[in-house]
Amino acid sequence: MTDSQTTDSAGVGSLDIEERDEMTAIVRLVGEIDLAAVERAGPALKNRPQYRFVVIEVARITFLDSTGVGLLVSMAKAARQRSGGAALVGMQPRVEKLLRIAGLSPLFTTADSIEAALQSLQAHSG
Amino acid sequence: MPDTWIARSTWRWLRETSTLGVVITNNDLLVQGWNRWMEERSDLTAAEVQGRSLLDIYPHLASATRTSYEAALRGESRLLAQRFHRNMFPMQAPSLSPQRQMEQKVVIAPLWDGDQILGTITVIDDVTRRVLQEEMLQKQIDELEQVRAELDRSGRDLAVALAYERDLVQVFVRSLLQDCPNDARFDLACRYYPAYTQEHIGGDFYDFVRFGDGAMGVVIGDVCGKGMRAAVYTAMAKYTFRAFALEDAAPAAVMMRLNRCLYQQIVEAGMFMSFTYVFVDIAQGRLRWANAGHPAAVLVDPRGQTEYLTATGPVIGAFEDVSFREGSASFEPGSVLALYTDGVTEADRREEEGERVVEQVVRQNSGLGADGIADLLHEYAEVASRGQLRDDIAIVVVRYPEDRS
Repeated sequence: MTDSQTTDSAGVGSLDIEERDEMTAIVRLVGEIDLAAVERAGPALKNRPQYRFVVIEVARITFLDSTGVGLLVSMAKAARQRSGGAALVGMQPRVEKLLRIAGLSPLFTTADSIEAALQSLQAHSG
Repeated sequence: MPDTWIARSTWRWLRETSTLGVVITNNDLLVQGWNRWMEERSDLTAAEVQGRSLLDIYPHLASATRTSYEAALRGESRLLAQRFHRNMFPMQAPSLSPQRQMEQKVVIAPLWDGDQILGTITVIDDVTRRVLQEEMLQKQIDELEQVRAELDRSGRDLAVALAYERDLVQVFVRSLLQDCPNDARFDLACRYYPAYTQEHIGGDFYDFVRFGDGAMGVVIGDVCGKGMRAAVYTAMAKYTFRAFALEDAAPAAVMMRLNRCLYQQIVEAGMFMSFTYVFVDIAQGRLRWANAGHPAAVLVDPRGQTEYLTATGPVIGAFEDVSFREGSASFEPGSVLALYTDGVTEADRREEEGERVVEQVVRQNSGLGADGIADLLHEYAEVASRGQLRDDIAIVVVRYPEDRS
């Protein structure tokens, strides 16, 4: 079953959640992920079950501020609480640097593809 | 009465029609024709009313109806609309529940034969359903109007509440920022500029702590998120920090305790804050610092060498138990330390090397004094954001004057 919801496709920042199953979600972040984008995504995020495995695609992010990082962190923490985890796909210098400075890299694994990320998350879950 | 074949056939048709009531009278208003529609709705058969005066059958006819018959006998036609004339011919509207009086549209007209008036024709249209629909529509319009008025009111209330919150946040944020301490040994400048859009205010702060032995602590922080929620966490962070800083001079230890304390206070999963705490020990000519995930402050020495006060631990509030390393550097006459929040380095969202720009500004203008450097950093952010800061910015510049005589 797939269930896709786009909060904003025009310009600025958008967040798209694809639900693979009740435990697994693919989150695609595009554009400027800032307070405005996170607030727009709020309703889409709120009524969601807490996923155990979250793969976040970050390759198309053009800007990320602390609120955007907060979004990544909250997804990762929620997944960890359910003995799962979050993986980043399409890592780029801008995102990598922000997470490194904030010391938040340990919250995420990275992978080259969505499928590889899912495999690694499921293999390491417990 | 009708004596031509046209009149006869027309009357036959009118008599059978079920959509309109038709009454024919002679000049004395004695009934000559009473169609089926009239029979069904008046409970009077054509035979019962034949030859009777219309005014006998309906003794309570409204005056407008009566005068219309007088007008008809003078040769004038009248249309009596339900809107202005209620219950002209008292009847029940059929097949309506609950029962109600029939709403009517009535035409009263003379019947001519050449230039001679032979009598009157009355045509009655039952418009009850139409009136009911209009009433229902009007009721819906009224209800919608009420809803709209309520929305208007609550919209105004919401706008007032939002404006109130923004004012509150601004006042609160300002109260968290103080003027630079007056300390002749340092050249100090601090700045705070709110985001261009008021919704984005809150979260940046700085503070100074002064110790008995003459040392000074400087802290700058950024709480993620905006608005009242961020402002409340900012206040919590500021005063918690103060309490720990005054107790123990070691920045790494202060940061660890701060994290442990705030971690328990933070309820939102994604909430965290970045901090840089610099302990300025002027007697030793040294800076000791701890940086919790905050953009690296820039330290330029008198020879123009730059050192970045990079992170020595993760952001506060993300992990339950973490330790911080402590950094240290020499701080001598002519040294300049510039602390800032990411609103400065990210003012231009396409710029990935914001720290380099800050470093250049500080290094190339270290002779300007703390105020001059702070103003230049602010100017850079304004220009880089095209005059529309999308995030708050906070700047603290500490310069060790060369000549202290």
